[in-house]
Amino acid sequence: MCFDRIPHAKPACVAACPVGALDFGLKDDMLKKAKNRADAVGGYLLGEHEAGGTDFLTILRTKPEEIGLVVAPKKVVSSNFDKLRITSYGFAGAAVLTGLMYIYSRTEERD
Amino acid sequence: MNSTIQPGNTKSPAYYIWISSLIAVMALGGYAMLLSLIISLEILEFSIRIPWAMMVSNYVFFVVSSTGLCIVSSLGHVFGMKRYELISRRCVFLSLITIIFGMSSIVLHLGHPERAIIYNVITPNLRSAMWWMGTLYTLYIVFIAGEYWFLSRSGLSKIANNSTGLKQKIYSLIVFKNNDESPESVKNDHKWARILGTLALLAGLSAHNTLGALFGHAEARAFWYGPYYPVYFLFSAAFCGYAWLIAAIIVTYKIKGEEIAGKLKKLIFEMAKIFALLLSLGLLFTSYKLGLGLLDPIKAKSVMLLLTGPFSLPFWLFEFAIGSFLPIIILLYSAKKENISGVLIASVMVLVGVFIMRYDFLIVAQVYPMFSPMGKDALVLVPSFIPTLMEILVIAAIIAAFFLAYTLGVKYLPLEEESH
Repeated sequence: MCFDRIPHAKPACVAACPVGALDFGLKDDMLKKAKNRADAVGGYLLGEHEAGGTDFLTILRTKPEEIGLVVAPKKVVSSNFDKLRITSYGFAGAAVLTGLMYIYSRTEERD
Repeated sequence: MNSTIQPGNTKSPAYYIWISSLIAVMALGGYAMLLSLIISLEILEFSIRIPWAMMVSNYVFFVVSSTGLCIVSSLGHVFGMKRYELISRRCVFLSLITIIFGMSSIVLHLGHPERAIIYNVITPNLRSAMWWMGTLYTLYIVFIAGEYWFLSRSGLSKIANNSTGLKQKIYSLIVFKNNDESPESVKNDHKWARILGTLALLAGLSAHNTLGALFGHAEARAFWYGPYYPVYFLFSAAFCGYAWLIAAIIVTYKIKGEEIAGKLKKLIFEMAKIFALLLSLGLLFTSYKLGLGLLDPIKAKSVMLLLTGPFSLPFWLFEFAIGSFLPIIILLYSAKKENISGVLIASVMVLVGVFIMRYDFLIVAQVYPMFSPMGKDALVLVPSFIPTLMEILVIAAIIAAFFLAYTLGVKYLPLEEESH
């Protein structure tokens, strides 16, 4: 969103927000800032752990379930691990295929 | 090396009609491509809801074929099966041109092809399957090209030494003035072809794995997500490779009016049997995928599209009957009766079936929108699954360019079956 503004300026919504309720930046910086803010107001930081950590962070005054929000699952498996898992099946398949090719190539000697 | 190298001397009208019609199709597709780059890519993508359409399915089709051809050719040079060395030059050449036209299909659908290349180099993302795919396929092209050069260097030198004038200069340039035809240098060539062939197989299998992973990692598309596609793509590559190779050999011999005899004939029937075995394996994979898919409520929607929905005709007729079930029977029967035409028909049927299968596999996963502003119950199908005319023109042009490259390859390069 606001892709054309990003290198030079903040997204339009952030720049226009009169009370500074919105902020935008690199995830690590934003996470640090949001944590400090959540601690300062004694609130809850939504998006830090939910679904393995989301790109959109919200500071709530209270826990999400108390204001009628659905409690998002905190995914334990990281997406990187999941990618590795899927890719490793592919490599196992490649190994099986190479093995079959090797077995097939053994028919040569008997000719 | 007792085969004679005769770059096709065919000057028949049919040859010129063939070449001119290919160029005409390429011109039409070039026009469509130019419009898409100047106006908007939307004239190629038939719906904003389905971002990956025929250009991507064509890419998958060609790239899978290339890996398959690499797998078949490496049986000869990498695994040392003498009888497969017979077909290695044609196989590696086909592998090279299928990957080149496959890559051109994906690069042209980006809208800004140059960005893909620049950002691939300057901002590599090691967690992206797409980055690995692009990088590994680039390596693969280099290895395959090198392998082909070493396999055909002696043949090219022979043409250079037996010709005069400009033709000799061009062929000498292709072999870097290394016109040595002695047995030692040929042996050295084969050593290098083996090394590069091994590297090409490794790069090809890894690249192919990341191509499958590209779909497998797509968590939001339930039909693609999971380890199935990385594995299935490898095995489907193997039978695509056989289909291309067998079809190319038989068609070339038939057009040239030469007879397929001796070792080559024996090899073709052997390949036909292996091909049938791989197709049955593919059928097992498909049954597993669809059967298991029915148990998952989200995947089941896509599966039902194939089984009874708007995709049932392409699925049952092309994917199942023409693409795998009938060819298995025809292949086994023809191999038993030693009928070359039967093997050819089955190979072409598989190629047609697989081409349609790649399209279906891409579209069914994208037909259901990932979210709907109206809520879960308002998920609607996109209105049309049929590719636009412009899209078909571009694909036809890429396929025509592929046929042109192969025709010219047969005419000017040593692709003949060799025995040594």
